[in-house]
Amino acid sequence: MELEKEVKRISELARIKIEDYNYFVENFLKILNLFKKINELDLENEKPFFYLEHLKTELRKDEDIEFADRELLFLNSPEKKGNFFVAESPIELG
Amino acid sequence: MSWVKKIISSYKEGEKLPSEALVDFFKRAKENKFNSFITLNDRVFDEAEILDRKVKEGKIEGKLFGIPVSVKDNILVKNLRVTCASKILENYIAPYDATVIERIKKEGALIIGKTNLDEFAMGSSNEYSYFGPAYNPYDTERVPGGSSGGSAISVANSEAVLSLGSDTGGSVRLPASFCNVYGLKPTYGAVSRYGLIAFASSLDQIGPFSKYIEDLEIIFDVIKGKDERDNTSVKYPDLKVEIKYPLKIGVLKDSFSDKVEDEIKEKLDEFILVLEKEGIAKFSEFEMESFEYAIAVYYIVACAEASSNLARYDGVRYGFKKGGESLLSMYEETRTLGFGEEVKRRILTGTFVLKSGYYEEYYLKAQKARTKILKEFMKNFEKFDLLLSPVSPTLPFKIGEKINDPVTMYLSDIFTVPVNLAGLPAIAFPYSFSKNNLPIGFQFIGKFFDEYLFFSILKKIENLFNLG
Repeated sequence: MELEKEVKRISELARIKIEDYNYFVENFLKILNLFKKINELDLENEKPFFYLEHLKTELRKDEDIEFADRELLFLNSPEKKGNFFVAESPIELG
Repeated sequence: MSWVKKIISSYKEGEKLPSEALVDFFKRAKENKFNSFITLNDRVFDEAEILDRKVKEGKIEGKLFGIPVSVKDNILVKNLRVTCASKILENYIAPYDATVIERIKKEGALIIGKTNLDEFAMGSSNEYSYFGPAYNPYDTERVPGGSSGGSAISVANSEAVLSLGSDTGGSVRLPASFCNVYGLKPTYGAVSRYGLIAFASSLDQIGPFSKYIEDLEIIFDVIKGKDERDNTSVKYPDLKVEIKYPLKIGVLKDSFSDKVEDEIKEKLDEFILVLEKEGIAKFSEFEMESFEYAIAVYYIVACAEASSNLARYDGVRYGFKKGGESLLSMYEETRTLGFGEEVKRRILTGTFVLKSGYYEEYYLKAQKARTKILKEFMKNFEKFDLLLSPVSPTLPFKIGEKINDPVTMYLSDIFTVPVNLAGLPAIAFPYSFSKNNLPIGFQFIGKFFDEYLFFSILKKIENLFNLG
Protein backbone atom coordinates (compact mmCIF):
# COMPACT_ATOMS: atom_id res chain seq x y z
CA MET A 1 0.00 0.00 0.00
CA GLU A 2 2.84 2.36 0.96
CA LEU A 3 4.69 1.48 -2.27
CA GLU A 4 1.55 2.06 -4.33
CA LYS A 5 1.21 5.52 -2.77
CA GLU A 6 4.87 6.36 -3.49
CA VAL A 7 4.69 5.19 -7.09
CA LYS A 8 1.53 7.22 -7.64
CA ARG A 9 3.25 10.29 -6.17
CA ILE A 10 6.40 10.06 -8.31
CA SER A 11 4.23 9.52 -11.36
CA GLU A 12 2.41 12.78 -10.54
CA LEU A 13 5.65 14.66 -9.88
CA ALA A 14 7.30 13.45 -13.09
CA ARG A 15 4.12 14.02 -15.14
CA ILE A 16 4.36 10.51 -16.52
CA LYS A 17 1.57 7.93 -16.39
CA ILE A 18 2.58 4.41 -15.42
CA GLU A 19 0.73 2.23 -17.88
CA ASP A 20 1.69 -1.25 -16.65
CA TYR A 21 1.90 -0.89 -12.88
CA ASN A 22 3.01 -4.47 -12.10
CA TYR A 23 5.78 -4.50 -14.70
CA PHE A 24 7.05 -1.11 -13.54
CA VAL A 25 7.04 -2.07 -9.85
CA GLU A 26 8.80 -5.38 -10.48
CA ASN A 27 11.74 -3.59 -12.13
CA PHE A 28 11.61 -0.57 -9.83
CA LEU A 29 12.07 -2.81 -6.78
CA LYS A 30 15.05 -4.51 -8.42
CA ILE A 31 16.62 -1.09 -9.02
CA LEU A 32 15.99 0.07 -5.43
CA ASN A 33 17.51 -3.16 -4.21
CA LEU A 34 20.64 -2.39 -6.26
CA PHE A 35 20.72 1.14 -4.82
CA LYS A 36 20.62 -0.18 -1.24
CA LYS A 37 24.13 -1.55 -1.77
CA ILE A 38 25.58 1.86 -1.01
CA ASN A 39 24.48 1.42 2.61
CA GLU A 40 27.34 -1.07 2.96
CA LEU A 41 29.91 1.68 2.31
CA ASP A 42 31.44 3.58 5.20
CA LEU A 43 30.67 7.19 4.27
CA GLU A 44 30.87 8.64 7.76
CA ASN A 45 33.75 11.03 7.02
CA GLU A 46 33.06 11.72 3.35
CA LYS A 47 31.84 15.04 2.01
CA PRO A 48 29.37 15.06 -0.88
CA PHE A 49 30.97 15.38 -4.29
CA PHE A 50 30.61 18.97 -5.39
CA TYR A 51 33.01 19.84 -8.17
CA LEU A 52 36.36 18.81 -9.64
CA GLU A 53 39.37 20.87 -8.65
CA HIS A 54 40.47 21.58 -12.19
CA LEU A 55 37.16 23.26 -12.96
CA LYS A 56 37.41 26.97 -12.24
CA THR A 57 34.28 29.02 -12.61
CA GLU A 58 34.97 31.95 -14.88
CA LEU A 59 32.05 34.21 -15.55
CA ARG A 60 31.70 35.63 -19.02
CA LYS A 61 30.69 39.23 -19.62
CA ASP A 62 27.04 39.91 -18.96
CA GLU A 63 26.04 41.27 -22.33
CA ASP A 64 23.17 40.90 -24.76
CA ILE A 65 23.85 38.66 -27.73
CA GLU A 66 21.34 38.78 -30.51
CA PHE A 67 20.13 35.34 -31.54
CA ALA A 68 19.74 35.48 -35.28
CA ASP A 69 17.72 32.32 -35.77
CA ARG A 70 14.48 33.11 -33.98
CA GLU A 71 12.50 31.68 -36.89
CA LEU A 72 14.28 28.34 -36.55
CA LEU A 73 13.31 28.16 -32.89
CA PHE A 74 9.65 28.74 -33.71
CA LEU A 75 9.78 26.16 -36.49
CA ASN A 76 10.19 23.53 -33.76
CA SER A 77 7.15 24.70 -31.83
CA PRO A 78 4.13 22.38 -31.98
CA GLU A 79 1.77 25.39 -31.77
CA LYS A 80 2.50 29.10 -32.05
CA LYS A 81 0.73 32.43 -32.46
CA GLY A 82 2.88 35.31 -33.66
CA ASN A 83 5.92 35.41 -31.41
CA PHE A 84 4.32 33.26 -28.71
CA PHE A 85 4.13 29.56 -27.93
CA VAL A 86 0.60 28.32 -27.42
CA ALA A 87 -0.25 26.04 -24.48
CA GLU A 88 -3.41 24.84 -22.76
CA SER A 89 -4.79 26.97 -19.97
CA PRO A 90 -3.25 26.32 -16.55
CA ILE A 91 -6.67 26.96 -15.01
CA GLU A 92 -8.68 23.79 -14.54
CA LEU A 93 -12.36 24.25 -15.34
CA GLY A 94 -15.14 22.57 -13.49
CA MET B 1 48.95 4.87 -39.51
CA SER B 2 46.50 7.69 -40.01
CA TRP B 3 43.49 7.32 -42.28
CA VAL B 4 42.83 11.06 -42.01
CA LYS B 5 46.35 11.94 -43.22
CA LYS B 6 46.12 9.37 -46.01
CA ILE B 7 42.89 10.91 -47.34
CA ILE B 8 44.18 14.49 -47.10
CA SER B 9 47.36 13.39 -48.83
CA SER B 10 45.29 11.92 -51.70
CA TYR B 11 43.73 15.40 -52.15
CA LYS B 12 47.18 17.01 -52.12
CA GLU B 13 48.54 14.52 -54.65
CA GLY B 14 45.59 15.21 -56.95
CA GLU B 15 44.42 11.58 -56.79
CA LYS B 16 40.93 12.41 -55.59
CA LEU B 17 38.56 15.27 -54.78
CA PRO B 18 36.60 15.39 -51.50
CA SER B 19 33.28 14.78 -53.31
CA GLU B 20 34.79 11.69 -54.96
CA ALA B 21 36.20 10.37 -51.69
CA LEU B 22 32.80 10.87 -50.10
CA VAL B 23 30.92 8.63 -52.54
CA ASP B 24 31.79 5.25 -51.03
CA PHE B 25 31.32 6.42 -47.44
CA PHE B 26 27.92 7.92 -48.27
CA LYS B 27 26.88 4.81 -50.20
CA ARG B 28 27.56 2.57 -47.20
CA ALA B 29 25.85 5.04 -44.86
CA LYS B 30 22.78 5.21 -47.11
CA GLU B 31 22.65 1.43 -47.36
CA ASN B 32 22.36 1.53 -43.53
CA LYS B 33 22.95 -2.20 -43.26
CA PHE B 34 23.34 -2.08 -39.48
CA ASN B 35 20.83 0.74 -38.81
CA SER B 36 23.64 3.01 -37.72
CA PHE B 37 22.16 6.23 -39.12
CA ILE B 38 18.96 8.04 -38.20
CA THR B 39 19.41 10.99 -40.58
CA LEU B 40 21.77 11.52 -43.50
CA ASN B 41 23.03 14.97 -44.38
CA ASP B 42 21.66 15.43 -47.89
CA ARG B 43 23.66 18.66 -48.30
CA VAL B 44 27.01 16.96 -47.70
CA PHE B 45 27.85 16.74 -51.42
CA ASP B 46 27.23 20.49 -51.84
CA GLU B 47 29.61 21.05 -48.93
CA ALA B 48 32.15 18.68 -50.52
CA GLU B 49 31.99 20.59 -53.79
CA ILE B 50 33.07 23.76 -51.98
CA LEU B 51 36.10 21.80 -50.78
CA ASP B 52 36.67 20.47 -54.32
CA ARG B 53 37.09 24.06 -55.48
CA LYS B 54 39.58 24.69 -52.68
CA VAL B 55 41.60 21.64 -53.72
CA LYS B 56 41.73 22.98 -57.27
CA GLU B 57 42.92 26.34 -55.93
CA GLY B 58 45.56 24.57 -53.86
CA LYS B 59 43.97 25.71 -50.61
CA ILE B 60 43.88 22.49 -48.61
CA GLU B 61 43.69 23.84 -45.08
CA GLY B 62 42.37 22.21 -41.95
CA LYS B 63 43.18 19.16 -39.87
CA LEU B 64 39.99 17.43 -41.02
CA PHE B 65 39.85 18.76 -44.58
CA GLY B 66 37.36 16.65 -46.56
CA ILE B 67 37.13 13.95 -43.86
CA PRO B 68 33.70 12.27 -43.53
CA VAL B 69 32.57 12.43 -39.90
CA SER B 70 29.38 11.02 -38.40
CA VAL B 71 27.75 12.56 -35.33
CA LYS B 72 25.66 10.95 -32.61
CA ASP B 73 22.09 12.17 -32.83
CA ASN B 74 22.16 13.97 -29.49
CA ILE B 75 24.68 16.59 -30.72
CA LEU B 76 23.32 19.63 -32.55
CA VAL B 77 24.25 20.23 -36.18
CA LYS B 78 22.53 23.37 -37.45
CA ASN B 79 19.60 22.75 -39.81
CA LEU B 80 19.82 18.97 -39.38
CA ARG B 81 17.23 16.97 -37.46
CA VAL B 82 18.36 15.96 -33.95
CA THR B 83 16.11 13.30 -32.47
CA CYS B 84 17.97 11.81 -29.51
CA ALA B 85 16.39 8.61 -30.90
CA SER B 86 13.16 9.70 -29.25
CA LYS B 87 9.62 10.22 -30.48
CA ILE B 88 9.50 13.40 -28.40
CA LEU B 89 12.15 15.04 -30.64
CA GLU B 90 11.32 13.16 -33.85
CA ASN B 91 11.07 16.30 -35.97
CA TYR B 92 13.29 18.72 -34.07
CA ILE B 93 15.61 20.78 -36.29
CA ALA B 94 18.77 22.03 -34.57
CA PRO B 95 18.82 25.85 -34.59
CA TYR B 96 22.57 26.11 -33.98
CA ASP B 97 25.81 24.11 -34.09
CA ALA B 98 27.29 22.50 -30.99
CA THR B 99 30.77 23.85 -30.20
CA VAL B 100 32.40 20.56 -31.28
CA ILE B 101 30.57 20.83 -34.62
CA GLU B 102 31.71 24.44 -35.12
CA ARG B 103 35.27 23.30 -34.46
CA ILE B 104 35.28 20.29 -36.79
CA LYS B 105 33.53 22.26 -39.56
CA LYS B 106 36.18 24.97 -39.25
CA GLU B 107 38.82 22.30 -39.91
CA GLY B 108 37.01 21.14 -43.04
CA ALA B 109 35.11 18.06 -41.79
CA LEU B 110 32.20 16.78 -43.87
CA ILE B 111 29.28 15.75 -41.68
CA ILE B 112 27.79 12.69 -43.30
CA GLY B 113 24.84 12.21 -40.95
CA LYS B 114 23.44 11.58 -37.49
CA THR B 115 23.90 8.22 -35.85
CA ASN B 116 21.62 5.91 -33.90
CA LEU B 117 21.72 5.71 -30.10
CA ASP B 118 19.73 4.56 -27.11
CA GLU B 119 17.00 7.13 -26.50
CA PHE B 120 18.55 10.19 -24.81
CA ALA B 121 21.78 8.16 -24.49
CA MET B 122 20.17 5.97 -21.81
CA GLY B 123 21.28 2.42 -22.48
CA SER B 124 24.17 0.05 -23.06
CA SER B 125 22.96 -1.82 -26.14
CA ASN B 126 21.40 0.64 -28.61
CA GLU B 127 18.15 -1.34 -28.31
CA TYR B 128 16.25 1.55 -26.71
CA SER B 129 15.99 3.60 -29.90
CA TYR B 130 12.69 4.88 -31.28
CA PHE B 131 14.21 4.19 -34.73
CA GLY B 132 14.92 0.53 -34.00
CA PRO B 133 17.99 -1.24 -32.69
CA ALA B 134 21.38 -1.02 -34.39
CA TYR B 135 23.20 -4.25 -35.21
CA ASN B 136 26.74 -5.34 -34.43
CA PRO B 137 28.69 -5.48 -37.70
CA TYR B 138 30.54 -8.61 -36.50
CA ASP B 139 27.31 -10.51 -35.76
CA THR B 140 23.98 -8.92 -36.61
CA GLU B 141 22.16 -10.99 -33.99
CA ARG B 142 24.14 -9.12 -31.36
CA VAL B 143 24.12 -5.57 -30.02
CA PRO B 144 26.76 -3.01 -31.02
CA GLY B 145 26.84 -1.62 -27.47
CA GLY B 146 25.40 1.69 -26.39
CA SER B 147 24.50 4.26 -26.16
CA SER B 148 26.64 5.54 -29.07
CA GLY B 149 26.15 2.30 -31.03
CA GLY B 150 25.55 4.00 -34.40
CA SER B 151 28.75 6.04 -34.10
CA ALA B 152 30.88 2.97 -33.39
CA ILE B 153 29.29 1.02 -36.26
CA SER B 154 29.72 3.92 -38.70
CA VAL B 155 33.48 3.89 -38.09
CA ALA B 156 33.80 0.08 -37.97
CA ASN B 157 31.90 -0.28 -41.25
CA SER B 158 33.72 2.63 -42.96
CA GLU B 159 30.57 4.74 -43.25
CA ALA B 160 32.67 7.55 -41.75
CA VAL B 161 36.35 7.99 -40.93
CA LEU B 162 35.63 9.49 -37.52
CA SER B 163 32.61 9.89 -35.31
CA LEU B 164 31.55 11.93 -32.31
CA GLY B 165 29.57 10.30 -29.52
CA SER B 166 28.89 11.04 -25.88
CA ASP B 167 29.95 9.11 -22.79
CA THR B 168 27.92 9.46 -19.58
CA GLY B 169 28.67 6.04 -18.09
CA GLY B 170 30.56 4.24 -20.85
CA SER B 171 28.52 5.17 -23.91
CA VAL B 172 31.58 5.75 -26.10
CA ARG B 173 33.81 3.02 -24.67
CA LEU B 174 31.34 0.12 -24.60
CA PRO B 175 30.26 0.38 -28.28
CA ALA B 176 33.87 1.06 -29.31
CA SER B 177 34.86 -2.20 -27.62
CA PHE B 178 31.93 -4.18 -29.08
CA CYS B 179 32.66 -2.88 -32.61
CA ASN B 180 36.49 -3.14 -32.59
CA VAL B 181 37.34 0.58 -32.77
CA TYR B 182 38.93 3.18 -30.49
CA GLY B 183 36.71 5.34 -28.27
CA LEU B 184 37.81 8.15 -25.98
CA LYS B 185 36.03 9.47 -22.90
CA PRO B 186 37.88 12.74 -22.23
CA THR B 187 38.57 14.33 -18.85
CA TYR B 188 35.41 16.05 -17.61
CA GLY B 189 35.64 19.64 -18.85
CA ALA B 190 38.19 18.93 -21.61
CA VAL B 191 35.51 19.15 -24.32
CA SER B 192 32.64 21.63 -24.40
CA ARG B 193 29.15 20.22 -23.86
CA TYR B 194 27.47 23.20 -25.51
CA GLY B 195 25.02 21.75 -28.01
CA LEU B 196 25.04 18.26 -26.50
CA ILE B 197 21.50 17.42 -25.40
CA ALA B 198 21.84 16.88 -21.66
CA PHE B 199 21.29 13.53 -19.98
CA ALA B 200 23.32 13.80 -16.73
CA SER B 201 25.28 17.04 -16.85
CA SER B 202 27.90 16.22 -14.21
CA LEU B 203 28.84 13.03 -16.09
CA ASP B 204 28.29 13.77 -19.81
CA GLN B 205 31.32 14.23 -22.07
CA ILE B 206 31.55 14.24 -25.86
CA GLY B 207 34.12 11.73 -27.12
CA PRO B 208 35.44 10.61 -30.53
CA PHE B 209 35.70 7.23 -32.30
CA SER B 210 38.32 6.14 -34.85
CA LYS B 211 39.90 3.06 -36.42
CA TYR B 212 43.44 4.32 -35.78
CA ILE B 213 44.86 5.94 -32.69
CA GLU B 214 46.57 8.78 -34.55
CA ASP B 215 43.20 9.86 -35.97
CA LEU B 216 41.69 9.95 -32.49
CA GLU B 217 44.46 12.35 -31.48
CA ILE B 218 43.81 14.53 -34.54
CA ILE B 219 40.11 14.99 -33.79
CA PHE B 220 40.71 15.41 -30.04
CA ASP B 221 43.17 18.23 -30.87
CA VAL B 222 40.35 19.94 -32.74
CA ILE B 223 37.49 19.55 -30.25
CA LYS B 224 39.24 20.03 -26.89
CA GLY B 225 39.53 23.27 -24.95
CA LYS B 226 37.72 26.10 -23.24
CA ASP B 227 34.37 27.32 -24.54
CA GLU B 228 32.80 30.24 -22.77
CA ARG B 229 29.34 28.85 -23.53
CA ASP B 230 30.04 25.84 -21.29
CA ASN B 231 31.17 26.98 -17.87
CA THR B 232 32.42 23.51 -16.98
CA SER B 233 34.85 23.47 -19.90
CA VAL B 234 38.52 24.26 -19.26
CA LYS B 235 41.57 25.47 -21.13
CA TYR B 236 43.41 22.24 -21.89
CA PRO B 237 46.77 22.38 -20.11
CA ASP B 238 49.92 22.48 -22.21
CA LEU B 239 51.48 19.31 -20.83
CA LYS B 240 54.51 17.61 -22.29
CA VAL B 241 54.23 13.85 -22.36
CA GLU B 242 57.52 12.29 -21.38
CA ILE B 243 57.13 8.57 -21.04
CA LYS B 244 59.60 6.45 -19.16
CA TYR B 245 59.21 2.82 -20.16
CA PRO B 246 58.31 0.49 -18.64
CA LEU B 247 55.16 2.25 -17.45
CA LYS B 248 53.68 1.21 -14.14
CA ILE B 249 50.18 -0.04 -14.88
CA GLY B 250 47.64 -1.19 -12.31
CA VAL B 251 45.24 -3.94 -13.34
CA LEU B 252 41.89 -3.85 -11.59
CA LYS B 253 41.60 -7.07 -9.58
CA ASP B 254 37.92 -7.42 -10.50
CA SER B 255 39.01 -7.84 -14.15
CA PHE B 256 39.62 -11.48 -13.27
CA SER B 257 36.48 -12.08 -11.19
CA ASP B 258 33.80 -14.70 -11.93
CA LYS B 259 31.61 -11.99 -13.42
CA VAL B 260 34.01 -11.59 -16.36
CA GLU B 261 33.80 -14.04 -19.27
CA ASP B 262 36.74 -16.43 -19.56
CA GLU B 263 37.78 -15.44 -23.08
CA ILE B 264 38.13 -11.80 -21.97
CA LYS B 265 40.28 -12.80 -18.99
CA GLU B 266 42.48 -15.01 -21.19
CA LYS B 267 43.07 -12.20 -23.68
CA LEU B 268 43.80 -9.74 -20.89
CA ASP B 269 46.40 -12.11 -19.48
CA GLU B 270 47.97 -12.47 -22.92
CA PHE B 271 48.03 -8.67 -23.44
CA ILE B 272 49.76 -8.13 -20.09
CA LEU B 273 52.38 -10.79 -20.81
CA VAL B 274 53.28 -9.33 -24.20
CA LEU B 275 53.58 -5.77 -22.89
CA GLU B 276 55.80 -6.96 -20.05
CA LYS B 277 57.94 -9.00 -22.42
CA GLU B 278 58.35 -6.00 -24.74
CA GLY B 279 59.37 -3.78 -21.81
CA ILE B 280 56.43 -1.42 -22.39
CA ALA B 281 54.87 -1.85 -18.96
CA LYS B 282 55.06 -3.54 -15.60
CA PHE B 283 51.75 -4.64 -14.16
CA SER B 284 50.46 -5.11 -10.62
CA GLU B 285 46.93 -5.69 -9.41
CA PHE B 286 45.02 -3.02 -7.54
CA GLU B 287 41.74 -3.07 -5.67
CA MET B 288 39.05 -0.47 -5.18
CA GLU B 289 36.67 -0.99 -2.29
CA SER B 290 34.05 1.27 -3.83
CA PHE B 291 34.22 -0.39 -7.26
CA GLU B 292 31.38 -2.83 -6.63
CA TYR B 293 29.15 0.02 -5.41
CA ALA B 294 29.84 2.27 -8.39
CA ILE B 295 26.91 0.97 -10.45
CA ALA B 296 24.47 1.89 -7.68
CA VAL B 297 26.10 5.30 -7.18
CA TYR B 298 26.09 5.98 -10.92
CA TYR B 299 22.44 5.10 -11.47
CA ILE B 300 21.31 7.20 -8.51
CA VAL B 301 23.22 10.26 -9.73
CA ALA B 302 22.46 9.78 -13.43
CA CYS B 303 18.72 9.17 -12.90
CA ALA B 304 18.46 12.17 -10.56
CA GLU B 305 20.09 14.46 -13.12
CA ALA B 306 18.07 12.96 -15.97
CA SER B 307 14.78 13.59 -14.16
CA SER B 308 15.74 17.25 -13.89
CA ASN B 309 17.21 17.66 -17.40
CA LEU B 310 14.29 15.98 -19.14
CA ALA B 311 11.68 18.08 -17.34
CA ARG B 312 11.97 20.54 -20.26
CA TYR B 313 10.17 18.17 -22.65
CA ASP B 314 6.61 19.27 -22.03
CA GLY B 315 5.17 19.75 -25.53
CA VAL B 316 5.01 23.56 -25.33
CA ARG B 317 8.12 24.98 -26.98
CA TYR B 318 9.28 22.10 -29.14
CA GLY B 319 8.89 18.46 -29.92
CA PHE B 320 5.99 16.04 -29.88
CA LYS B 321 2.76 17.25 -28.32
CA LYS B 322 -0.39 15.43 -27.34
CA GLY B 323 -3.12 17.83 -26.35
CA GLY B 324 -5.18 17.35 -23.21
CA GLU B 325 -8.05 19.14 -21.53
CA SER B 326 -5.73 21.11 -19.26
CA LEU B 327 -2.08 22.11 -19.13
CA LEU B 328 -1.28 19.32 -16.67
CA SER B 329 -3.01 16.61 -18.65
CA MET B 330 -1.24 17.86 -21.79
CA TYR B 331 2.14 17.55 -20.03
CA GLU B 332 1.26 14.05 -18.87
CA GLU B 333 -0.05 12.80 -22.22
CA THR B 334 2.91 14.30 -24.09
CA ARG B 335 5.56 12.82 -21.81
CA THR B 336 3.85 9.43 -21.44
CA LEU B 337 3.51 8.95 -25.20
CA GLY B 338 6.69 10.83 -26.20
CA PHE B 339 9.26 9.01 -24.07
CA GLY B 340 10.21 5.34 -24.37
CA GLU B 341 10.16 2.78 -21.57
CA GLU B 342 13.76 3.10 -20.30
CA VAL B 343 13.72 6.90 -20.31
CA LYS B 344 10.47 6.93 -18.33
CA ARG B 345 11.90 4.40 -15.87
CA ARG B 346 14.97 6.58 -15.28
CA ILE B 347 12.96 9.80 -14.92
CA LEU B 348 10.65 8.12 -12.39
CA THR B 349 13.61 6.60 -10.51
CA GLY B 350 15.36 9.97 -10.47
CA THR B 351 12.22 11.67 -9.21
CA PHE B 352 12.07 9.10 -6.41
CA VAL B 353 15.69 9.51 -5.24
CA LEU B 354 15.34 13.29 -5.14
CA LYS B 355 12.00 13.21 -3.39
CA SER B 356 11.69 14.59 0.10
CA GLY B 357 12.28 11.78 2.59
CA TYR B 358 14.53 9.79 0.23
CA TYR B 359 17.09 12.44 -0.78
CA GLU B 360 19.37 11.75 2.21
CA GLU B 361 18.99 8.00 1.89
CA TYR B 362 19.93 7.82 -1.77
CA TYR B 363 21.18 10.98 -3.50
CA LEU B 364 23.24 12.44 -0.66
CA LYS B 365 24.85 9.07 0.09
CA ALA B 366 25.61 8.60 -3.60
CA GLN B 367 27.34 11.97 -3.75
CA LYS B 368 29.46 11.03 -0.73
CA ALA B 369 30.31 7.71 -2.33
CA ARG B 370 31.36 9.61 -5.44
CA THR B 371 33.95 11.50 -3.39
CA LYS B 372 35.19 8.18 -2.03
CA ILE B 373 35.55 6.74 -5.55
CA LEU B 374 37.57 9.77 -6.71
CA LYS B 375 39.84 9.51 -3.63
CA GLU B 376 40.43 5.81 -4.27
CA PHE B 377 41.38 6.49 -7.87
CA MET B 378 43.81 9.25 -6.86
CA LYS B 379 45.39 7.01 -4.25
CA ASN B 380 46.04 4.39 -6.92
CA PHE B 381 47.58 7.01 -9.21
CA GLU B 382 50.24 7.59 -6.54
CA LYS B 383 51.49 4.10 -7.43
CA PHE B 384 50.57 3.74 -11.10
CA ASP B 385 50.90 5.73 -14.34
CA LEU B 386 47.78 4.14 -15.81
CA LEU B 387 45.05 1.71 -14.83
CA LEU B 388 43.81 -1.15 -17.00
CA SER B 389 40.59 -3.16 -17.13
CA PRO B 390 38.25 -4.78 -19.64
CA VAL B 391 35.62 -2.43 -21.07
CA SER B 392 32.82 -4.92 -20.56
CA PRO B 393 32.51 -8.08 -18.45
CA THR B 394 30.90 -9.84 -21.42
CA LEU B 395 31.31 -10.21 -25.16
CA PRO B 396 28.68 -8.40 -27.28
CA PHE B 397 25.42 -9.98 -26.14
CA LYS B 398 22.39 -11.05 -28.18
CA ILE B 399 19.68 -8.56 -29.07
CA GLY B 400 16.82 -8.99 -26.58
CA GLU B 401 18.97 -10.91 -24.08
CA LYS B 402 18.97 -8.26 -21.36
CA ILE B 403 16.20 -5.90 -22.39
CA ASN B 404 13.59 -7.11 -19.90
CA ASP B 405 15.87 -6.86 -16.90
CA PRO B 406 17.20 -3.32 -16.40
CA VAL B 407 19.56 -4.28 -13.57
CA THR B 408 21.28 -6.96 -15.68
CA MET B 409 21.61 -4.38 -18.46
CA TYR B 410 23.05 -1.80 -16.01
CA LEU B 411 25.75 -4.30 -14.98
CA SER B 412 27.20 -4.09 -18.51
CA ASP B 413 28.61 -0.73 -17.39
CA ILE B 414 30.43 -2.08 -14.34
CA PHE B 415 33.93 -1.22 -15.63
CA THR B 416 33.03 2.09 -17.25
CA VAL B 417 30.89 4.08 -14.80
CA PRO B 418 33.52 4.66 -12.05
CA VAL B 419 35.51 6.78 -14.54
CA ASN B 420 32.58 9.13 -15.20
CA LEU B 421 31.81 9.47 -11.50
CA ALA B 422 35.39 10.63 -10.91
CA GLY B 423 35.57 12.82 -14.05
CA LEU B 424 38.70 11.00 -15.26
CA PRO B 425 39.70 10.26 -18.85
CA ALA B 426 39.61 6.72 -20.24
CA ILE B 427 40.12 5.13 -23.61
CA ALA B 428 38.74 1.92 -25.07
CA PHE B 429 41.03 0.24 -27.56
CA PRO B 430 40.54 -2.82 -29.77
CA TYR B 431 42.71 -5.78 -28.94
CA SER B 432 41.53 -9.14 -30.19
CA PHE B 433 38.64 -11.45 -31.03
CA SER B 434 36.86 -14.33 -29.33
CA LYS B 435 36.66 -17.81 -30.86
CA ASN B 436 33.37 -16.71 -32.45
CA ASN B 437 35.00 -13.63 -34.00
CA LEU B 438 33.51 -11.14 -31.54
CA PRO B 439 35.66 -8.11 -30.66
CA ILE B 440 37.41 -7.86 -27.30
CA GLY B 441 38.59 -4.45 -26.14
CA PHE B 442 40.26 -3.08 -23.03
CA GLN B 443 40.46 0.35 -21.45
CA PHE B 444 43.17 2.51 -19.96
CA ILE B 445 42.13 4.93 -17.24
CA GLY B 446 44.34 7.95 -16.63
CA LYS B 447 44.69 10.93 -14.33
CA PHE B 448 43.05 14.20 -15.33
CA PHE B 449 44.36 15.35 -18.75
CA ASP B 450 46.23 12.11 -19.52
CA GLU B 451 44.74 11.90 -23.02
CA TYR B 452 48.13 12.41 -24.71
CA LEU B 453 49.67 9.68 -22.58
CA PHE B 454 46.96 7.35 -23.95
CA PHE B 455 47.78 8.38 -27.51
CA SER B 456 51.52 7.81 -27.03
CA ILE B 457 51.33 4.36 -25.48
CA LEU B 458 48.60 3.20 -27.84
CA LYS B 459 50.61 4.18 -30.91
CA LYS B 460 53.28 1.82 -29.64
CA ILE B 461 50.72 -0.89 -28.89
CA GLU B 462 48.96 -0.41 -32.25
CA ASN B 463 52.26 -1.04 -34.04
CA LEU B 464 53.13 -3.97 -31.84
CA PHE B 465 49.85 -5.83 -32.30
CA ASN B 466 49.01 -4.43 -35.73
CA LEU B 467 45.69 -3.12 -34.40
CA GLY B 468 43.15 -0.92 -36.15
